[in-house]
Amino acid sequence: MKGLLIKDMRLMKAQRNFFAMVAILAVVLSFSTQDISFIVGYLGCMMPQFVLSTISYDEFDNGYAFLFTLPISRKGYVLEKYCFGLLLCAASLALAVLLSYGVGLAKGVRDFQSTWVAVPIVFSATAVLLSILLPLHLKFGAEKARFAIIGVIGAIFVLVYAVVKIPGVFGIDMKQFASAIYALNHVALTAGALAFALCIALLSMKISTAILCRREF
Amino acid sequence: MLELQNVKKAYKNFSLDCSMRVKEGQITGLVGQNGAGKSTAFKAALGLISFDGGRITLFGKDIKALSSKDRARIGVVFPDSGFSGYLTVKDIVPVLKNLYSAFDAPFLIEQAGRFGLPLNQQIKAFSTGMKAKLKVLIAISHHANLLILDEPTLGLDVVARDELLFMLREYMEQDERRAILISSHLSADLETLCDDLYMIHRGRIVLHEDTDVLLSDYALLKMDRAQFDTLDKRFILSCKDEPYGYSCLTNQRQFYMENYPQVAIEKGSIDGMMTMMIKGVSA
Repeated sequence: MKGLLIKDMRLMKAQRNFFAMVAILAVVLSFSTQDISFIVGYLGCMMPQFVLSTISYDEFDNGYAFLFTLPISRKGYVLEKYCFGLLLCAASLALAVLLSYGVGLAKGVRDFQSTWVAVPIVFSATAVLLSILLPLHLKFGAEKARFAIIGVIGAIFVLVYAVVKIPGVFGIDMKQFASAIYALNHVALTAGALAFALCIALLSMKISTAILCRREF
Repeated sequence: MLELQNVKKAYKNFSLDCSMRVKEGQITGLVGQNGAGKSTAFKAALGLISFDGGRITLFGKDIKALSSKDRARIGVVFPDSGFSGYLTVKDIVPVLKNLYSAFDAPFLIEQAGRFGLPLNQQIKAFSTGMKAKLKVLIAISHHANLLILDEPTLGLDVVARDELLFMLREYMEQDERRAILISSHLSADLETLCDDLYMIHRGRIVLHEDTDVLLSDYALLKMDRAQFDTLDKRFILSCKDEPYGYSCLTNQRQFYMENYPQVAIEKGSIDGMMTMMIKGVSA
């Protein structure tokens, strides 16, 4: 797996200008908002794109056929992509915190609590987003996955709408439920978000492995 | 070392039904037209595609039971696939170092220099010949026991092809337990390199013979219709209608040289044999 991680990191090197541009844009945009934790959310949202781009590089020019003649299993390849996503997410959030402190100090901000609150939540959200996107990319490839993503977003929208509206039909007040969640201890909320992301990531990894094991190159 | 036993794979417009064996210490060639099934056979042998029937064994193990350690004993070249073009040779070295315990980094770097491959240039900027040489260098740089090379000389000029074939000969000379399975549509490459040859047509192996035998015993007979009518056809493998009469492929060149001196006899060449096996009919 280490060899594959090195390959992906070297491929990321080819995108260093784009990454630098994203970081600069985050800093510039954060000057126009009150909330300095914006950088954390912005960089977190951008991360899956970089992880997915390594799949596109692997896939380009029938690259999978060669990759799977190397001493790696398809399960190992999937595991590496999730680990790489995790590492990249952690690294970009660390950078986001640094930038957030830099911007905050420049703006005279002394309270950085919002940044620290955002980190685990954004980390969980990014992990969930990546867990949805990775199997789609492995199944459909970079091009077709775009259409699949639109379908998934539509499905999520319908699901959220149903979750919000259907309980009302049975007389369940969702506002009360939401208030109960907000009232939860911050640590419990963070732990819950991380646990939820972990469960989704494990399920996603299982699906991705099954998809890749069935593919022919 | 590698054996395909009645391996079957069916697609909508093509089916493979193939048996072949690559022995230790030998270079085995697979020749055939474009679309004959060479790449499908290779991909089946490497576990890249599933197959509907038959059995494939590699290093004495079923292909489905191969471990990463076993895979590390194979070096592979595909004409249309390799490391991402956005990587450089320098990027690839640590990748291979961490994938293969036997990877010989100094060898790869030294050979890259010998063949004029820049270490810091992205592979996508390499010429076709440079890319082909790099692929073969990567395949042999971890002391693989078996090389599976699908059209490694595709798109190369004569000089680059010679250099590449030289690399393969050197690789074989280093250890007599090694083996190579190679495909090419350029028969001249295989004639000088291979110990035995398989010919594949429409997914079926139509001929298997030692290269020496092919070149010494096989021949193309050219004759008019009257000569054809009186010809002993016991050793004729296939014949083809020609404007001047018939051309026939035989595996008993000496017999026809002694008994039919009036018939024009051309020494066997893989190209000639392939044409006869594909376009000819049995006598």
